[in-house]
Amino acid sequence: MNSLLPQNLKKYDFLNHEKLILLIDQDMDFALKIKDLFHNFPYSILLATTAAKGLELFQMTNPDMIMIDPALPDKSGFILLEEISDIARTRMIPISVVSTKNSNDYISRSYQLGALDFIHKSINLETFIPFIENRCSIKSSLSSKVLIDDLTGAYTRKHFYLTFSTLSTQYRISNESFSIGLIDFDSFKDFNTQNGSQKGDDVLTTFVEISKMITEVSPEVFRFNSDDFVVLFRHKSTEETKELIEQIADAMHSQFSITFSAGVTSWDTTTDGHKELLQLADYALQRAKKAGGNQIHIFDPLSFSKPILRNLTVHIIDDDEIVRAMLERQFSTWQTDLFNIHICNYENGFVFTESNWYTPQDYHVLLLDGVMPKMDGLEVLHKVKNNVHSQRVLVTMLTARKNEQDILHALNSGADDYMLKPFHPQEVLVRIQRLVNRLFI
Amino acid sequence: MNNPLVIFISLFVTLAIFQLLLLLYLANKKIKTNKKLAHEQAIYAEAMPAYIQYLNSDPNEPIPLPPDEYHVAEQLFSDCMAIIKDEKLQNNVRESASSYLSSHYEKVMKTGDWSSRVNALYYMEDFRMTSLQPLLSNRLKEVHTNDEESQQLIRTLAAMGDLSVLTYLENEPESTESMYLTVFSRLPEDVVPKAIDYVNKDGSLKATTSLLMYFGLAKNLAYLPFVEEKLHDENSALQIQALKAIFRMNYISDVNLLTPFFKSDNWIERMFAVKIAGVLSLSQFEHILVELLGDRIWWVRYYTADALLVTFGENKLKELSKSHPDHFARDMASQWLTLGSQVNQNE
Repeated sequence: MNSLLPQNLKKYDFLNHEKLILLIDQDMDFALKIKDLFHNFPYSILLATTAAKGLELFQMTNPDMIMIDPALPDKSGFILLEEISDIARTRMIPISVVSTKNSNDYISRSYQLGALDFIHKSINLETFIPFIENRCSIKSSLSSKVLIDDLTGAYTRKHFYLTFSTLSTQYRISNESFSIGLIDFDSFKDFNTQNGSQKGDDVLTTFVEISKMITEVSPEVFRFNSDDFVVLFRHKSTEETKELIEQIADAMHSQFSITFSAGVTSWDTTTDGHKELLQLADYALQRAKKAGGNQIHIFDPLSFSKPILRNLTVHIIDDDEIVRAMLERQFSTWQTDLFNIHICNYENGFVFTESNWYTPQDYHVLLLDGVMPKMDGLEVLHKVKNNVHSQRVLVTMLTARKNEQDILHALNSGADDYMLKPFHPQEVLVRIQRLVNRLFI
Repeated sequence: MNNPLVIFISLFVTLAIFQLLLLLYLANKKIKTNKKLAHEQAIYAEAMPAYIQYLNSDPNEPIPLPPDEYHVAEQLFSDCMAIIKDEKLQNNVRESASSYLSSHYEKVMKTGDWSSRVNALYYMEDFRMTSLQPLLSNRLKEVHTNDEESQQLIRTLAAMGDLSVLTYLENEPESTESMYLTVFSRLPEDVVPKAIDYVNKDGSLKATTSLLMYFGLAKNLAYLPFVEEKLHDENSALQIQALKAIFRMNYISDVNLLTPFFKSDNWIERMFAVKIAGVLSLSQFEHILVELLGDRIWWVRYYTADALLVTFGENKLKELSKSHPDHFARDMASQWLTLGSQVNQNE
């Protein structure tokens, strides 16, 4: 069975090694200092300059740590802290308050509202990285020990690994089998944006309740990521599992407008381990997604001999041809088993907006120069944000505009990241890869 | 023959012919310039993708540029240096420049006119063409006038890490702090420790203050020991510059180093000590700050109130605005309460 798998498919492993820090702060000096500090480490710093953007990124990305400055333009960081601290605690995400102020009332308010640490901004850079590593490792260690998901009541990923280990040992002796369905809700992020995260949580909770009740076989349900689940049916073939998941889908459809896709596969004595089982289910899931979603596909070794990849287009929009050539060369080295990478060049914003660049079923990364003739980067950014409402578009500014106001303006207008020229081509690629892994996978 | 009409017509015709010739000359010159420009642009467009590929591949291959296209090479190397931050790629560009342009620049420095020499110097600084360092050092000794060429020679040599420019500046009576700053800010990072040794051993007051100024601007904590050492210097100007640098660096290794400056006779030292206490929120200096809120100098009182507000919060300042024994201290505390609340509106 191993021969069916691409050599270096490490989707689940890769995600586990990446740490994401969400910094909610409008102080560009501090933000750039932190970004610089971590650029050689396996950490992505995601920056939100407003409380609203911070909340959105918190809901979308499930960060490993959050840093909030109370001084935000649209709302006090303390209010934001109050809003997210319960959920963050449930997910075991440590929150630190960072501030230029150090007064006792500031510190005590931070702790009262749920912050784990208070950090004065005159940080010692030598000790800051170990501090962050410490906080992230506490999170990983606690998460790995939890077996029941607080929100939905489903089992956790950790529980799945334990169950898999037990079942595979038992069934190997008794020559029995089980099947799993890997479930992913279609456009769940869009659903959350339109209906609010509370409604999204209702969908997930109801899914688990229905899964446990609707079928007479009571499958075990495991929550893997925000809207990714695994349902495990003992002694059921893939065909039977597909039918049971269809029953769950029908019951869900009667209550919510959102649909889900599923990939089904079964375990037998030739299966190597849980990674392989999940990867096979993921192939089937990707095929179901590719066919338009709201479908359940069974893994078939013959038709799945080639992996189904999603398209990801990197649009480089810059009037400097040498920048375009340099980035095109760098991005052409991007090897991934998750996407088909395409690269498109545009000599200015006008040419880009006039092209038919947007295909809703695909993923898009926009690398936007700030200063261009005919239509500059910020104007392009506004047009994209006004016309395209999709979680599959990632916009990064790559510009020589170093002014704090320009950076703030771009981030407040919806840019997901901001990089400065002159740039390190390899670093641009790595940062985009990290963001893609967090936002698209 | 002396008919004025004939004279007028002859003059008119002569002028017309002259203008026509001038027009033809200018048009021809313009056509040639455009042709040259188009030729260079075509070579640039053709060579650029190959050069980007070359930068990322085996450096032993020949540079993909036709021979003697110096303008195109300058443009291409300079464009690359302007957009990339990757040290390995930058070094590859520098090596390209060194192998393609060295002999050309040597010729320009020996026989070229003033503008060609200065232009070449700018590029040499960008490309750090160290192979030409001896030539430029000699040229600096020959150039006596304090014009753009000598200034650019200093900048270029500094970028190459040639510390002889410091000796040159020490011997120039007209050298300013900004000239020293220009040198320090261009020195490659591995040469900075040597610059510190030089300044410690032979440096003038101007050189030392400029180095402290540079460290403050660079905000690099690796230079902190030198800065902190100067806090103990006998010269007050150096102590003040060291305090300024610490304030800008936003860090001090041992807060006790600040203690003597709160009691200094020099109000500028007191002011900077207070500013540092504020920016680092050093709550252990509470009693001293409370005392300095009543300092005789307005600036010291002003920054003390700021430090108290940031470090201990509004309540402390409110309390001091009522209870401080000094009338001016109470005034300043009240003033900062108003200022502070305006700043905090968004929080």
